[in-house]
Amino acid sequence: MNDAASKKSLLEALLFAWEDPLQIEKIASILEISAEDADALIEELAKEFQREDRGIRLYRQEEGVQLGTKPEAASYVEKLFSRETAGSLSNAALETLAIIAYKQPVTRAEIEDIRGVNSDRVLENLLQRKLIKAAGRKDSPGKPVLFATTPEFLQYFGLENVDELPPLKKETK
Amino acid sequence: MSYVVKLPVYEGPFELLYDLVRKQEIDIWSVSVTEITAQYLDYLRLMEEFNLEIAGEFLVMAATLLRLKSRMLLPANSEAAVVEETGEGLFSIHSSEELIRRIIEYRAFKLAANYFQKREEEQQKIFFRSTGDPKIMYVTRQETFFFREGMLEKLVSAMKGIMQRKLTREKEPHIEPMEEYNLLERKNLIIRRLSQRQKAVYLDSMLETRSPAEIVTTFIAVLDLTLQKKVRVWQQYNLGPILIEIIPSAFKVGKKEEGNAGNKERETHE
Repeated sequence: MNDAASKKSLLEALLFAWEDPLQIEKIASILEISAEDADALIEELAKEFQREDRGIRLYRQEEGVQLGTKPEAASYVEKLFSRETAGSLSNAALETLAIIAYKQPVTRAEIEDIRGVNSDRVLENLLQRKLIKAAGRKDSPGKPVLFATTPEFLQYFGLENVDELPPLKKETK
Repeated sequence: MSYVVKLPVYEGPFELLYDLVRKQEIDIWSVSVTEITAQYLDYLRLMEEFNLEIAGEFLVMAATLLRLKSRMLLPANSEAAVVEETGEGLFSIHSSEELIRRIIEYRAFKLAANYFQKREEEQQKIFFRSTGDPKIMYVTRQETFFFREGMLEKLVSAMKGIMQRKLTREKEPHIEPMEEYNLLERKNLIIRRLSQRQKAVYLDSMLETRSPAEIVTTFIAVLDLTLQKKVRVWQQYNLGPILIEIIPSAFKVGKKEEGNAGNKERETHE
């Protein structure tokens, strides 16, 4: 086994062992290679996982890389988990998240202004799920709390970073 | 044969407005306020018919739309049109352009929410190696179904019966009267009690009801009296009960001072 092949297998072992997304710098330092080499290794491993006869995929996120099942296997893997694990966000939650994602950091009043409804409970919910966080206070009367999205938000929607979001459709048609 | 009617549930007034505009399938800028107001009110009426609770924001929007509509009926330069309305609590929408701009803004985020929903769906097909919690979400999607052809009437009358029984059986809603504590009165009370005793007492003994309002008022009163050096407060050991004692000497001097100070401190009523 050549060096690159053995490093790749080590990378696979690391990703299998680690539950959370693993940062590229960390991989590089553990395997004693440069960040660029680690990046190339990840790319290679990811390609291998793309093969049809593999059930695992390598997913890249802002926080790092992580192993996960392939989407096509969902209907089977699902059976392992209890029913409530498959729940989705409510419309109100999605709407509020969208406003925060694009306008962050943003105050509750600004969110409510756009939605036209009280958003206390939905914000509470999103905070509890760690999809948003309080990110300081606005320098205006009352010093309202500002909300921003979290790394968990990116992970939940499978986004690498906030810049990846498609532009808002603000034009009239 | 009965069939099911699904009444969409809107998160808020802007979602309803956006949906109404969308159904017209016309350019958003050619939307007529009169038309949209009528449709909006129709929907609220429908909700009422189904005995659905109408959130306050929907009514506020109805009022806002009606104000907008009536304002547009007035000639542009008439005196009434110029008068600045306070319209407190209403949405600050004063022209049809503003209304449309708000709907467009809402639409942008609504579309973004749809995008997030799609991503969520895709993402939920992936099970990460992690045992992490992000997969544990509650099902909160809401949809309301209604049955027609007699079913609805039966349902409504059954519901009414239940409500009727509940209302007559249960007590009237009861609200505790708001207790009023006055800082000045509380200070006087403390001084009066302390000068009767002429010795240290537990701060706790100043409390009667132990309601949060009373505790807060008493606490502020004691702080204030300490600041004015009229009482002394201490603990015999760490975290021990708080003792309070009057300072008689300071009190005699205080009398004179208070005499020429003239204006009494302002007291806030809680």
